[in-house]
Amino acid sequence: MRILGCFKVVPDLEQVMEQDWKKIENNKIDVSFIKTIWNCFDESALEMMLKLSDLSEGFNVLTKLDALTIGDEVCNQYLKTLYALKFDEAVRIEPLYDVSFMPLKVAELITAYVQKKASYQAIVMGNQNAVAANGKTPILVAHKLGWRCITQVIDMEPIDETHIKVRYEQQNGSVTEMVELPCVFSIGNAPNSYLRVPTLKDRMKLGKRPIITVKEEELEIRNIEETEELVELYYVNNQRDAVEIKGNGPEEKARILFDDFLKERLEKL
Amino acid sequence: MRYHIVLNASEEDFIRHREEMQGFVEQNLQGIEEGETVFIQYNDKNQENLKEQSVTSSARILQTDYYEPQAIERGLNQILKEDDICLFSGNCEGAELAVRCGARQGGSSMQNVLGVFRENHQLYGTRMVYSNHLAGKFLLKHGPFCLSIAKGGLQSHKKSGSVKMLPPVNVASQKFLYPRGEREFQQREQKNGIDQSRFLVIGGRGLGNKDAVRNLEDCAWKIGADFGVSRPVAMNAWAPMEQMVGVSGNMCHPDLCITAGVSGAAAFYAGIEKSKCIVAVNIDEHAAIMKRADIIVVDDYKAIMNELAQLMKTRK
Repeated sequence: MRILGCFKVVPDLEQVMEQDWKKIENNKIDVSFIKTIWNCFDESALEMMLKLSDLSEGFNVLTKLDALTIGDEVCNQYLKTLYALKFDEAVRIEPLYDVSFMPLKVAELITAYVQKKASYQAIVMGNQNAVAANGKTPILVAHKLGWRCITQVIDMEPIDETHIKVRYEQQNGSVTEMVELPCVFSIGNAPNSYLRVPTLKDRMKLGKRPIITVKEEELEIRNIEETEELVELYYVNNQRDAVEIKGNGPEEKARILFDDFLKERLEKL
Repeated sequence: MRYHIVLNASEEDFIRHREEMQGFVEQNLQGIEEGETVFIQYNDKNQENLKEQSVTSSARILQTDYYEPQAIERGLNQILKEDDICLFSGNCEGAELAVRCGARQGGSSMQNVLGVFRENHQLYGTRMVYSNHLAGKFLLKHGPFCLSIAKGGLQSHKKSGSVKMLPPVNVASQKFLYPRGEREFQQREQKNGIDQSRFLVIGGRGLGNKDAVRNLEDCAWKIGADFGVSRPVAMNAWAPMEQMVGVSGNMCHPDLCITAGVSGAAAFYAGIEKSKCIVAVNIDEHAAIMKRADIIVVDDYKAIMNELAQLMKTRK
């Protein structure tokens, strides 16, 4: 079974200073100086793939994991980490320009790559990314491939070469289903799914393998017109005029908080 | 151009989603011709007086075996025309259906829609981007326009007058699109959702471990509050996912919200933004939440909360 994990590297947006959010130019915000992190839902997707691979041995299922991202050289260090975690192929598609708000194009690139390789039984990715947050890519990829798509996946286990046991959230509960492949799995809020850290030994031994770089032109995708276009970006001020409670120690502060601010509010509840 | 509404009449939160939808329609779609309300139905829930819950003056039932998004999408595509706006609930299922329906017909789709409006004969939608730090205005270029509304919006109890029921659409008997494997549904234990809570205590990553989260939850119970957590707490499995507050969890609007050890990431803050009063307790005076609260206490949350519990016990 060969599985492709698609992920995005995003700026750590919580590091952006409040005043910098107001510096919008040409509907863009400069976050190039901010350190990058794994997109959180994609991180869960990659860890879930690793757990699936760990379990596969016990089920006599040979599982190979590949990883794919669309972005510039900043992504390379993340791909090297995935090599160190024993991913088989780590691929970066180099786009001609920033595709953050272009879900149709992203889906087209992923689909073109998958069709070119013609060897995947499953594609796993997070349900949305921190920047554009459109929540569309997994469903669009499945639609273009003619595959099933299951969303809000929180757990996966191997069954055999053509089936995965999946648990996904739906309708105030969860569904456990034996899913026949191929399928696109969109990962939701999965607990305990932070990506494991490779050992130094594995980083040294495996992390230096060359990243496979594919230029966008090589995939020969058709020109796509996005169905939505970002025309304006604006700052929303949600700050409040905070009153700080001061006192000699937590007990006094708690007393002031209760007597001066909470007591009356609590009586009305 | 007409607008249609899609509501899942078989889910627990049906009435709340219906009222949020009514509120969204009143705020955004005045002057646009009404279409129909489509009720997705796959069990006996909410069957009585379903007509009364229609947001429009005509409605129909989309009957299916159980909740299967692909089959539902096929049923909806029998109804949607190219120039139509179709609104879906602000939960994950609604967002997914919006994307699926848009993809099927080559139309625009968007989730977490805050508002929609016409300008110079074109349709625009707004939603939050950059992890809820900024808002984006998007030109919606192609119909049908499939939009999932933002969670936690203004609710309206207004009802349509007389409602005409249109012929139902049945997707239950359709040949299933993909092989269907062995499947088991487990209902989550139903508690009063914290999204309807009036007094909420929320614990964040600053609590440090599962025991601390349990202790804060006990404290919340002692002071009569419901309890929620930020995403890192839920992701560490220190608390169940159902207690998560934020854009990918519960959107709350309590009268009083106390946060403890919460940094205040924008995606979390969106979940409590509509609170009447926010009290933030954090040892870090520079935490983002401290500029977004009404009252702040820079100190150790354990000592503050324990003292509060004691005061409420003795002085109530």
